[in-house]
Amino acid sequence: MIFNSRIKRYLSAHQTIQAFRRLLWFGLLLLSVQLPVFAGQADAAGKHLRFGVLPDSARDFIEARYAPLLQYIKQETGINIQMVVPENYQKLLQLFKDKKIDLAFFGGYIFIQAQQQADARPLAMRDIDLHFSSVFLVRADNDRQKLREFKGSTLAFGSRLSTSGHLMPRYFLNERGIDPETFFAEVRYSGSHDQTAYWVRDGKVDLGAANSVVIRKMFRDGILNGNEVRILWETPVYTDYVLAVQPDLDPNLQSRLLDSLLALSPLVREQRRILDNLGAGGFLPASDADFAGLRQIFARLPLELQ
Amino acid sequence: MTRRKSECTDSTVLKRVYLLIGLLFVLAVVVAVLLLRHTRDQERLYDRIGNYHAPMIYYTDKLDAALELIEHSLQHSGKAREETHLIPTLQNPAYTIGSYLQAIQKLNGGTDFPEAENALHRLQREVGNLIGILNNLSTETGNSKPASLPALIKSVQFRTRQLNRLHVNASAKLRQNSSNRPSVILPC
Repeated sequence: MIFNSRIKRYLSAHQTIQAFRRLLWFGLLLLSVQLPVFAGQADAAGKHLRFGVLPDSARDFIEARYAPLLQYIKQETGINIQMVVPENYQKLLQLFKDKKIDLAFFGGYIFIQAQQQADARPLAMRDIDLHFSSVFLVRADNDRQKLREFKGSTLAFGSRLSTSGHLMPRYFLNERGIDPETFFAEVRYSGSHDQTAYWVRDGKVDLGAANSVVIRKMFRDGILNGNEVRILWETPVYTDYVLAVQPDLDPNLQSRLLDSLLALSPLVREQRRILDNLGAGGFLPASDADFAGLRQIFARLPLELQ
Repeated sequence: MTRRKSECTDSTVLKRVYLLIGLLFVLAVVVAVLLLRHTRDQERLYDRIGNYHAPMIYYTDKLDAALELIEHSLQHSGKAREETHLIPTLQNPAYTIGSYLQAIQKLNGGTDFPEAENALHRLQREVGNLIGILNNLSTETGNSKPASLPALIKSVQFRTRQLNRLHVNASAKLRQNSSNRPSVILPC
């Protein structure tokens, strides 16, 4: 009898311990599942994002272009955004792939790569990005009027990963039956649009392909002089830049970011300054479909360029 | 002994049969619930596309076209009659854009699409300003129009396009979600 009651007591104690252990394991499991969620919430509460931009111009020029926008976003949403300017286009893509930046302002070409390699999601784009173009620059004293007249000359593209400084000018040259590598005596890559313009101005190359918005702003700001450099030809329009985010960025943050960008209006004086800096009339929601044409061009590129 | 053994086997088989029937029943219930949920989700999805996004896209397109006409007719308002007689004009621009805005406002999309809600508020505000100016314009004699009018029309047009694209994108995303779901009808 005594023996029986001892066994019962032992069993009851044993069951209690087991139940406690199970509860502990369950709690730990629940905690491990919830931890990333808590981390996300903490991140959202901290509202600190890293924003990568294309190094398509000189660093101070880029900082002056984006600083008012980031200040505005902070004012409107409370989200603190730190700007990251990598050394080159490839580095920007790498930072995005490594999740070291949360959002990035990509060119179309590099965005497609980021989408293929890191599932980048398009968020917003400037109105001008739907009708973007590239320009071919020559020295103002060069009297040749057509691209075909530049056979055997030197050509400069911007960065290899630039849409408006390389991919699209190359595509439109190909459309006209010009293969840059065989048509021109030398093809060089300057690394950025403004550098291409300087190379043309300084006579380092005969012809340069660059982003039309950057070049027109350089003319407007007096950095380029119409007596030194002129636009030989402007390409047809295509879709270019886009603000893209990481696929796992908190949807609430994405929504607030998009909303603040869409709210920008050229009718409000302070906001017009922000938009002018970006060469935009406003922001539009972006989608995958906007890049369908560019994706087709990208798929037709030689493998070494993809 | 043999009889007892046989009874025992019979009862085990019977138990297994009952268990199988029970399992099949539970499975049927689970499948039915899943099918019902799937059908409901699909229905809700198509309802959202058909009764919210699609009409919103339709009316914002119409509003955009109307604004384009207003802009066009304003650009040519100072020109001679023979130059402008081929340009289509809106008889009552303020009424037209007001009625499109009303149609847009009537479409209720709930609160789960805050960007669109805010974009609609911005559009309402700017259309309100535009209608005010257009009404004053039609009652005033003479041909003077405020300098801010072209910029305001452009801005309303841009707001309309923002709202349009928000709905186009959301609709495309829903369609994508729908096509990603497994089809309920099995191929023969």
